[in-house]
Amino acid sequence: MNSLEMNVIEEEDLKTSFLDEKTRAQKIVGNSFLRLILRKLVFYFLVFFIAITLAFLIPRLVPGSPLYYIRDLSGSINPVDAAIIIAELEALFGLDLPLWNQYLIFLEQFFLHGNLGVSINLPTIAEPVFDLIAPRIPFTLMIVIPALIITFFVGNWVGAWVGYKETKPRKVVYYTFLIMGAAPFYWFAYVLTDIFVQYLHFFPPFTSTPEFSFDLAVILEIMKHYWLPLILMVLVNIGGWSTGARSMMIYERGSGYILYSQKLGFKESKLRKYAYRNSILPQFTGLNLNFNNMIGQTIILEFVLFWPGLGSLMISAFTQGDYAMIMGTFIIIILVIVIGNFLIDLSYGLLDPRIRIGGSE
Amino acid sequence: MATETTLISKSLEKGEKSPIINILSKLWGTIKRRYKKQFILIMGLLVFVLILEILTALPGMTDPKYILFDGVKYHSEYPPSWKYWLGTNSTSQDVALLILHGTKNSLYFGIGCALISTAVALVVGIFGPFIGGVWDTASSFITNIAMVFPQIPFILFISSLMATRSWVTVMLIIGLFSWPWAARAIRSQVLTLRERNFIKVSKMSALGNMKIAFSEIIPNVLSYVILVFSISFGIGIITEAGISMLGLGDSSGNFVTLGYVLWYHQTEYILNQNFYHIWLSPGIVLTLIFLIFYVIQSSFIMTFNPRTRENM
Repeated sequence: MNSLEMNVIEEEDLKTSFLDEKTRAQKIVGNSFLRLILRKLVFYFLVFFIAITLAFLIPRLVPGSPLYYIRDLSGSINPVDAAIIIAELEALFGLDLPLWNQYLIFLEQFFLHGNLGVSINLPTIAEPVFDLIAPRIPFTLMIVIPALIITFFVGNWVGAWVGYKETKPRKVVYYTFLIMGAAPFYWFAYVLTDIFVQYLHFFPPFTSTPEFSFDLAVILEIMKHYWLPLILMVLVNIGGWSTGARSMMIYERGSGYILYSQKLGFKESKLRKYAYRNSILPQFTGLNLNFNNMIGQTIILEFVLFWPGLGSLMISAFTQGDYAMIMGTFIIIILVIVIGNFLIDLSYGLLDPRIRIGGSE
Repeated sequence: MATETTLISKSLEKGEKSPIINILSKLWGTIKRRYKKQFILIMGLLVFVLILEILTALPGMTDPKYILFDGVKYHSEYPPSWKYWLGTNSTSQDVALLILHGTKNSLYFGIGCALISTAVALVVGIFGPFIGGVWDTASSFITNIAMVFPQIPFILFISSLMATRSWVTVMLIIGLFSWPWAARAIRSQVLTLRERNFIKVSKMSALGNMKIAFSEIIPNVLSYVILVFSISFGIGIITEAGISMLGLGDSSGNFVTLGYVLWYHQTEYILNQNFYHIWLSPGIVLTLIFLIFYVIQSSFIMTFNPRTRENM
């Protein structure tokens, strides 16, 4: 909403009554925010529905059956036994039913009972997949959420800092972050592990991260393992934010109001603050995409650094051919992403009134 | 240069439609004039690929997975020396040779990925908003939904469910899941172009939609397309290396990429031993590739945006 429209509304309010003004404005904001929530809720539910439909269809449509790992094993045991095992497993997963029937069962089980099937991997055989996945979710989120917030503020600050006045030391800092962002993050994990774990012994080796429990010693042990993945995610992602912020800042720096205020003799720090505020707003739209990317990065990183999150569970399920576990982790990751995107959109609506009232994108 | 412009102006005077060749040759002239820096960079990259091609075609260097065995013992886990510049890995393969082949294959892979994702982004980003109506809503809706789809989990999910994966399938999977942001960037550009007068004039003069899209819209968003292409190039290479490192790349093992070299490391050492020559070099090469593309991208951005062009 621009200032002109604001004036119009204010005039109308003045005409009707003074007392009504505040309540009416609150009502407009409240209603439009509610509308935004509803619109986003419908959209993200649709996205989630399409994603799980794809997750259901892909294993059944790609060449090779969901049970091909077991088929591969069938060479090592008696072929008759193998055929019986495969038939039993197909009955267990309902793979012998027609596709539409399987789909209905899948939807019913997921939405009504929250059931994602049972694991067929040996140490956790016949346990519900959801019970195995649920304790892993906080492990992934405790890396992604702090990393997203830290990189957003630090990255934008660095970018704006460099963009406002491009001196040599500032450029050195900027390009250092840029090179760290350009390095493939999984490989950068090797480098940092080598420096901080092998040589400096700042952090313990990663293979020994314990499972979570409400015990102070265990929590402290987890925290010791926690810093390196977090630092890594932060270092790798600052570069991406600061490139955007830098070019936004260069754009703002050349715009009329800054040049005019410079001529008027405003304080430099004040000007930088104005330019920073204006250059940071477009960056908010990048949060969604960055959140999705970070989830993807964390999945691979968890495997490389033995961090017991969703990603390492998913990748170990690939190697063990645990079909229900692959599906389950994938669906939960999509759920996390959809909820995260929904919250980010809402926060964007809170920050920028134009999104609330304007309606369209 | 001069002859090209006169050709076009002559044909314009006669009222002839200027053939695509003339437009292309004019474009070529502009590229050589305005994008001299980028032209040199891209030519440098092509020469680099050519050198890699020649090196890997030399006798004795065609098979990257050749196992070094002199009849007495295997040359496994050698540190870097004059004979093996980057040492050998535990299966007695020359790491330098693996990296030569890996770099070449990774670059080709990146081109494939970039072509696929740019093509999809072009179709969704240009034709949707340009044709308008239902197509516009549909393309915007598809792009918005695909933006939320997590790229890496989807790629991992699909490739883990396939029993055999050739590098073409991996390329298709990566390409088909990395277009949404590009489509959105192109789309927003097309939406502003659509309201310009010259598009309205061409619509009024009853030119076909397709014709306008190809002769008016695409040349105007070409700068974005080039940018999108170079970004997806880098992303394709990095993503492929990431999933190959997890052992989910090409399953036949004949397509050696930089991720494949890292996978050897991941499966066999996991940082318990100090084989820097095996894991440092692929990462450095990947970083350099990404930086080269970053330089190309940022120089394009500088040239496209007049304000940054002045300030830089």
